Amino acid sequence: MTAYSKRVVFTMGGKGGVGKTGVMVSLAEWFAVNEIPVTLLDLDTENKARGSLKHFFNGSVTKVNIHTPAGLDAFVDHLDGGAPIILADMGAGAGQVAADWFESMYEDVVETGVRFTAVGVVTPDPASVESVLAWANRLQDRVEYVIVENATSALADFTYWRSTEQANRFREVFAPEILQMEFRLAELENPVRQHGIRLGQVADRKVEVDELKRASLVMRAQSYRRRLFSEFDRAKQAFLL
Amino acid sequence: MILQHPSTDLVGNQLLADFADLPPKPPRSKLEPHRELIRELRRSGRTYREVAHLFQERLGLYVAPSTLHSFVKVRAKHRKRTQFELPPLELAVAASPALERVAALKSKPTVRNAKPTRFVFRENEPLTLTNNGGEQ
Repeated sequence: MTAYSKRVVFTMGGKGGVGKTGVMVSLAEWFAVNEIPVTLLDLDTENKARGSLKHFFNGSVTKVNIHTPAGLDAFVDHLDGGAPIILADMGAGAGQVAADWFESMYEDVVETGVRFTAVGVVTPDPASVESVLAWANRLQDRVEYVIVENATSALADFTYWRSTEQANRFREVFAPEILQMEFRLAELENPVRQHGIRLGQVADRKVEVDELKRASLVMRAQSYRRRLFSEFDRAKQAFLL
Repeated sequence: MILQHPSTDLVGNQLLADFADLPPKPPRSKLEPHRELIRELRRSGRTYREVAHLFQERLGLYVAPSTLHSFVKVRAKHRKRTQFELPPLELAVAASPALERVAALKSKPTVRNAKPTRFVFRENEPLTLTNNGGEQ
């Protein structure tokens, strides 16, 4: 039996703009608060600058082009001697690369004690649900699944995720951890993305941007962070070793 | 109307049986005693013309280069045929450790990793709402 000593947590889903990078940024902050070292990989080659993982963690993120014959071999290289946990933000167009890599490398990589967690983000948009299910169709049992319900509006309706036969079947088969990410005010969310600032920096009043120093926004940031971190705490088995 | 002699097969079989009892015929070629010499000369690069000349000069044996050529070709063909008549498998395996390993590998069961697919999602089909669709 394999003793697991390493983990790769990566975002999945072919739909762009659903909040994959946002979830990964918050997850990286959660690890930092818990003082667990991680390696951050930005595999999203489509997302060049603004809004990419590298934009939020400049200097501590390695950008990797996975559209090469080596595919996701960066996982292996960065786990060898680096932090035992990798957080990898995959781009919307990474589905085929990921599927091919898992098909050819999974058996050997898992033998070295590595396990995988795929984080899917769903929104009220049915395309986001289809995208997550399509990835699961390729990855099957090779990963543990965490699904984040990202409320992109105040009254977000997740019917296509919660009440379709295909999504039900996915939940039955893989029993994913399901987390909620609440709707965030645009006056906080937009400048945060624009300037590449993390929620935690606003919450801890460590920003230079005036519009993000407002007391109410700081309190909002603290509130969002607290609730999201408690969601991560709930699913910690899927993120830790 | 085509007539067939019903006894043709019987006669043929009888003939084969009779020939099988006869002793094998001795080689007819006058070159047979010099077989190894011809082979060595050819291996050392001598042409059939040169071999014929040497035979005439040293052995007093008159032979055409084409005869030498036919003699060598017929025996080469025969040698090739016997080369491909392999010994029985058990004997071959016993004789060679490499063949033993080949036989062991062949008998090893093939491991197939085809795990059953637990989840199927057809990307070209739309999501299907359940009966309670829309309830939150």
